[in-house]
Amino acid sequence: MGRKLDEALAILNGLVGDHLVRTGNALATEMAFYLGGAPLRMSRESLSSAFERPTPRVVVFVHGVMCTEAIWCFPAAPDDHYGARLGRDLGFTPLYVRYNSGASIVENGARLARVLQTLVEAYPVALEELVLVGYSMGGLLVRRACRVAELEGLSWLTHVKRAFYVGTPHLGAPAERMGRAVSALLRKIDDPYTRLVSELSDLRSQGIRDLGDAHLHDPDAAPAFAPYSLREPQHPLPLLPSIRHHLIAGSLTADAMAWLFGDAVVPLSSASWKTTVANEALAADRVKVLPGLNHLVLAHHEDVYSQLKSWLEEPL
Amino acid sequence: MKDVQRWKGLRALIGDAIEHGASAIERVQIATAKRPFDVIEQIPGIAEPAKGIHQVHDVIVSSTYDAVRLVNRALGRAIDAALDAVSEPSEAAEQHDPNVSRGDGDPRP
Repeated sequence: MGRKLDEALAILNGLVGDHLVRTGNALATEMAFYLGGAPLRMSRESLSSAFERPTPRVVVFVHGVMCTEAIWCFPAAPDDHYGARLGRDLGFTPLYVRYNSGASIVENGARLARVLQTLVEAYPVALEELVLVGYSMGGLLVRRACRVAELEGLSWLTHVKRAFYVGTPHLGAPAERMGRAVSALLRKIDDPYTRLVSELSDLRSQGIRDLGDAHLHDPDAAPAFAPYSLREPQHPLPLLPSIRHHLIAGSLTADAMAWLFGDAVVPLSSASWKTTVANEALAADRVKVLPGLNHLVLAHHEDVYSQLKSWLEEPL
Repeated sequence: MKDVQRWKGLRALIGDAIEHGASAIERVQIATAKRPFDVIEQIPGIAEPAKGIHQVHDVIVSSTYDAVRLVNRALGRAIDAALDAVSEPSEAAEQHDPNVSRGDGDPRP
């Protein structure tokens, strides 16, 4: 019951989470680390009691839109997930973030930066490395959190040497941009019914809207995208050069259509960050395209774990 | 306490949906009715009475949806009061550490 309720709340938060926050609704999820379906208190004592042997290397997982940390569980074995395996195979202590995915990515990224700072301050053993793994929207939160940490000089950023983005729409999601364009078109038609449909579609949360252009810019530098634009914006927020970034993209097919449809939610060009602008922080061998994987399974698939493990085994 | 807050949250969300839904349908109904009225109001001889009927129509529609919104808000306040009354006795007994609330056997990470 708890898990189903949490998943229902996650969907609700993803759909109208910004409205829930605005109206002070108790259904809004507050960002926190979760363990076994319950929020983890960020104190040295509670972290010591939550983990039998906390290790100096920590991996933090950030889920995507409309889901919880349960998305990382392998369906055949719910107590098996990337974090548990990385703990067993490479000695990482896994931590999972849960958040309101309907709030804006910029806000959630700033919250993630604060939550990571409290983690670093409360962690019971000296921290050697903090690895960040973001799935879908979670990857954009990771990028925004790194940006906030860089601007505010937060100490956790010094522990981050590697970041992983799984199915993350770095250049935005065309489905959302398409929806935005259709909604704007319907609003222009002088008919009460089409306007009603437009109003209904505009109820979607700010978090979902932000996915359209991967909106994680500094609030005072946000570019005004044209509402009808379907093109992928050239992203003004580059990857931090101090971190080794790794991208994993799924693709339903191995042919040219994959470029357009990608993993059925995020196009290959967006998940693998293929732009006309050279990205110095992203070496070609740190982008892995996994054919035959759709967006949902990227969070719990053997091939993805093998790739994560392989990258994490590389010397720093 | 958290459960009661969530029930109140759900109540508030349903209330918001009814409020916004009623307003949206009200706009559609008034805008839809405006089209034939606009035509009739151009016809000499019946234009003036048609304008009067149009105004009466709009007032009746708005009053109806105002009543829906009013009942919705009153019902919301009543449900909140009932939830508060139900939660008071159990509040004192509820003291738990979030770290201990982990469900036994919950396989989630």
